[in-house]
Amino acid sequence: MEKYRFFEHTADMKFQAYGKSLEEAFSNAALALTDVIVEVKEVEQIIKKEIIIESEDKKALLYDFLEKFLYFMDAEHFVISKIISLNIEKGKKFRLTANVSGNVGLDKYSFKRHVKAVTYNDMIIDEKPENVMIQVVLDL
Amino acid sequence: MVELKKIKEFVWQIEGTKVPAYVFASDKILEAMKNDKTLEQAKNMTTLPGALKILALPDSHQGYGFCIGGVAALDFEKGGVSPGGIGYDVNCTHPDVKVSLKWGAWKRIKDIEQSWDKEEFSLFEYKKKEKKEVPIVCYMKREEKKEIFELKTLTGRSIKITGNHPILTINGMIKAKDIKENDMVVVNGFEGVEWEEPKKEKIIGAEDIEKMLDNLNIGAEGNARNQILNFLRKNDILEISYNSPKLPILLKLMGFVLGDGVLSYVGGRSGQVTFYGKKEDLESIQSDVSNLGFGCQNIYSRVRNHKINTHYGTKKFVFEEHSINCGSASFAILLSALGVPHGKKVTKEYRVPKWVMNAPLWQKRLFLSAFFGAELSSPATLNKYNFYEPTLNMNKLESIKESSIDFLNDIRLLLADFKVTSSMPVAVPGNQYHGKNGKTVCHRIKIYGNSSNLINFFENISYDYNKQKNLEASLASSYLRLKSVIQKERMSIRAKTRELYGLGVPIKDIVASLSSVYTPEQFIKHSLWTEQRTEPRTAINFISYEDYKKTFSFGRDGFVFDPILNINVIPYQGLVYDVTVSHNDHNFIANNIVVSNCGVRLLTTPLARDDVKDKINQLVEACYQAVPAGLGEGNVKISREELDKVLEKGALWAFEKGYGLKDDLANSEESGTFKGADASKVSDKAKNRGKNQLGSLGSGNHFLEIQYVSDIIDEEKAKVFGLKKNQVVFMIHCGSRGLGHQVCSDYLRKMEQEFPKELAKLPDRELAYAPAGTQACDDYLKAMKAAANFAWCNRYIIADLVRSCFVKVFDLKKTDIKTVYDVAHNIAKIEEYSFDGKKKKVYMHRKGATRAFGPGNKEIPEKYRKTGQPVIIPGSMGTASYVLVGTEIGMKESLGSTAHGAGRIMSRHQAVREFGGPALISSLAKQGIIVKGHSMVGLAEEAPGAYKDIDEVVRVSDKLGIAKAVVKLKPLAVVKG
Repeated sequence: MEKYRFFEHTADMKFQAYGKSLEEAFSNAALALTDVIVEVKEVEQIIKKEIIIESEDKKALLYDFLEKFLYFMDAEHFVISKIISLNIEKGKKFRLTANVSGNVGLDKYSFKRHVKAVTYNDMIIDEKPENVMIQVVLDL
Repeated sequence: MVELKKIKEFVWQIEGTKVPAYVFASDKILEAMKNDKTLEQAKNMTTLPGALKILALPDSHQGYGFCIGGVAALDFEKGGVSPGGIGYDVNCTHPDVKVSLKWGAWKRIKDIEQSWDKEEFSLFEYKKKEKKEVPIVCYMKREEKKEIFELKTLTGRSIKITGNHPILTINGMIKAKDIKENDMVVVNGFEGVEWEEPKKEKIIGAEDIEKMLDNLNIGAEGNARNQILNFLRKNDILEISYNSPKLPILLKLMGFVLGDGVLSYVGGRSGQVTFYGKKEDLESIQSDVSNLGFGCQNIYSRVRNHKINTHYGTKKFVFEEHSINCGSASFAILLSALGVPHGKKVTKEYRVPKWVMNAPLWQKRLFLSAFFGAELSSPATLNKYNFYEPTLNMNKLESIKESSIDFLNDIRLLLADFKVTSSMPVAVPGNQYHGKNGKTVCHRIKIYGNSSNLINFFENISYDYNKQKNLEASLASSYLRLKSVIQKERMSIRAKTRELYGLGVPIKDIVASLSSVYTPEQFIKHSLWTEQRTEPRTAINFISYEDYKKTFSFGRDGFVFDPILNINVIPYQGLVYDVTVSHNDHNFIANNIVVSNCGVRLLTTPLARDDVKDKINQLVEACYQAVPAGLGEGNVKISREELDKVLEKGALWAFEKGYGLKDDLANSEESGTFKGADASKVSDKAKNRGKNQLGSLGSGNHFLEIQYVSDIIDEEKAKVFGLKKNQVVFMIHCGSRGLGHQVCSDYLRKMEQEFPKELAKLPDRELAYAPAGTQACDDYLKAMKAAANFAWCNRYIIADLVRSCFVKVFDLKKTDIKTVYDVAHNIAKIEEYSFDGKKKKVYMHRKGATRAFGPGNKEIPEKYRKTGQPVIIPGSMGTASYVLVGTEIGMKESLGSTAHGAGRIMSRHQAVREFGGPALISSLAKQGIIVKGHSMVGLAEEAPGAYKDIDEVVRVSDKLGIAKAVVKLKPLAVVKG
């Protein structure tokens, strides 16, 4: 199954990520984001991180989840290349817990372009049984 | 579909909106706008509360919430705002001041004059309270004619520096001249040893590797053998001499393997190296192994049940063991060749390799401290005040026990080089085992426990790859220094007591004059009664080690607070030195709108186009080095506390730090300081993203361009702006980097959560806003101003770095290079305009729009008050840029605003397909334009053809009169992220 695909967008970068579950689609969205910035295939899995996010709805959860990786890159030079596990629970809020791995030292990998921010622009989370699609536009 | 009505040439009104919304465009531009969501977004902007007027400028293209190139005036009362970056410079110090470098070595600051650009400097990272090694980016010396300050601390440390040199204290950075007695300064217990240039002498070469392969008979023949040799060569670890850049890492790893590592050749074939330790320490080892060029597996953890039979009986225990494994045959064979034993060390005879015994002191330190990190006992107190003697045990088969003694004596010899004394190896009775390998015996040496010996050991050698022991050693040395000071005081009081008593002074008078906290009456009396001790014991009320740590330690790398004992101002005439170390778009929030004060800064040089021809490559190279772009961190590394100052002071902060000239400040929007900024409204997250980015360009459409004035359109105004035909100028286009984006995201999310009802009424979630008068609105404005200040400071610093390149390459004076202006094009501000004849205060959101104030406005520098402000419009990479001037018409018709650039028309994919990075570079080169970029993809995406025609955008602005063209600039060279 295709993990993600990039689409034409005048100023920025639009991608869709796919999965059999919301969790899988979220995971693939994170990889798509990394692939916008560096050559994701080059990034080894050396360092592990645990992520916990709580947000008021699914779109906000997606926004906060992806934004976390932009933060990691700028603040810690950490770039992910694998989602080891990811779980989304619905309680009062949506809660995402994930174990991810990747490496520090962005300059080791082929740099493509910087992402300024995640946006809500044209954001879609389309959940069908066994077929989830996520669409995100990134501000470059 | 958005319906438009033509009002006049170039002006279109969007129909069906509650508030007026205008599009400024030519037919050609309008067609481009219709291809994406520009117009729809402009229409959406009219739904913002309190919207009075919305504009889409000629360069508009699709954005988020707002279109880029959009201007919104939101009523000050009814509206709201909608949201859409350690180090330290050492200023001047005395020539003999020691600076801590990488690898636990130090040099005197005067001695790094030749090599500073290759040095890494160890500094204190305020946020993490940790040491970090960063390159030095600037080295200065100057003549001091008056005086120098000597500060001495209670624990006997001292430094000589100039009065304006800031020092880290409990209350933040304070200039030396403002420091008072008893102020707590931050010091580190670790000093290391003086650096010495290693010789070029060879340690091992290819023949040694081959010999080792033969000896081990591990079957690496032919191709496999060549692969190993080639791999080592490729990674710069063959051959190895004392001056090989990677030798320091190897010394550390070797030291550790001799302690808690195992080098083995499984099944007589490929080798592997396993390291055992705590997780955090294994991470540093992992990173060092990968810096050598070898791969390492993830940390492996398992719970182990242990049972050992000792002299005292059988002991059982459970512990979690962590290890990492490096399965590279090349790595294993390299360590073997360097002298690391393989297999079970307890069964092997080996010594400290001879070449280590002959290495420079700082290299010996690396080997020893890593070995100690694994193998030597940790600093620990025996009672409240006294430390155990650090102990090193070594087990060996009884048959080869002499080998233990020899090895331990090697270690003692090494220690002696650091003037650290230790006991002779002795067999430890009771520590005998009968295991699988046979009978083993243990030998032991101890580092003598007198304070001065321990201080010497902790401060100069310490423990590597063991954060815990390393921390304890630094803290313990500071504690022992303090204890020694008190001891000395007690000794001197004791001597004085005896002297006075000998002279016949009554004991009660002696007590009255000499008693103190640490020398109470009892102590003074006792001094006369006993002669048995030459050294008094520690004062009973002296702080215990545990309490000392709780009270004085700071951070995790052994920093402590140390009170200033005295300050001497010494007359001084001579050189003083200084190093600066490197470490490290939109404005408002109607979401994502303006947060980061992306903008443009333009500077002039006294050079003409022909003057730079021959040296342009040299200049570009210098700029490329001086100004990091892409993912690169900025060259200005600052503490968190200094970052807060940057956020509140903007470019003024940089000026105070010695960057730039006074006129650079004056010729900037807001004079480079947005008043009312509040750093506390910027999240830690945003500060972390921005902390290392000051002085860096970033990527995307941001650039640094060297240009010349190709056309003068308005002679008179060009003269006021200081621009002549063919003159060389340079332009910096960038913003507040990650910090600004994070501020924007933080507040967008906050507003969403705080004002869900308001959000529900908007057509686009990205338009989330904070209503005027709310705390969130107020906080956002303060945070946005802080981000804007970061951007102004950033452009100001970058401009000065580029200025220095010009000065160097063309032998100019700093003052030859002058700032024309610095304008933001992503920002929200409170301004006043007339709406239906009534003056109203508004929150002006300029998202990708340049302020273009006309003549007479008080907000613009005196110099430009008659002409109107310079409006700088950067073109896309490799195309022309323009300088325009603000007009009266603009104040009336376009809310004092005009376009900010060309505006995209083509997607990034399409641009990459059509242009391609390398092809683009050569096509620009044919036009005589040099391009340097960090990413080929990034370059192609920013190809000129992907943008609207800048000439057309400027033509619309000029014809409309909202800002009039003054000069046209053409690029000579571009540096891109």
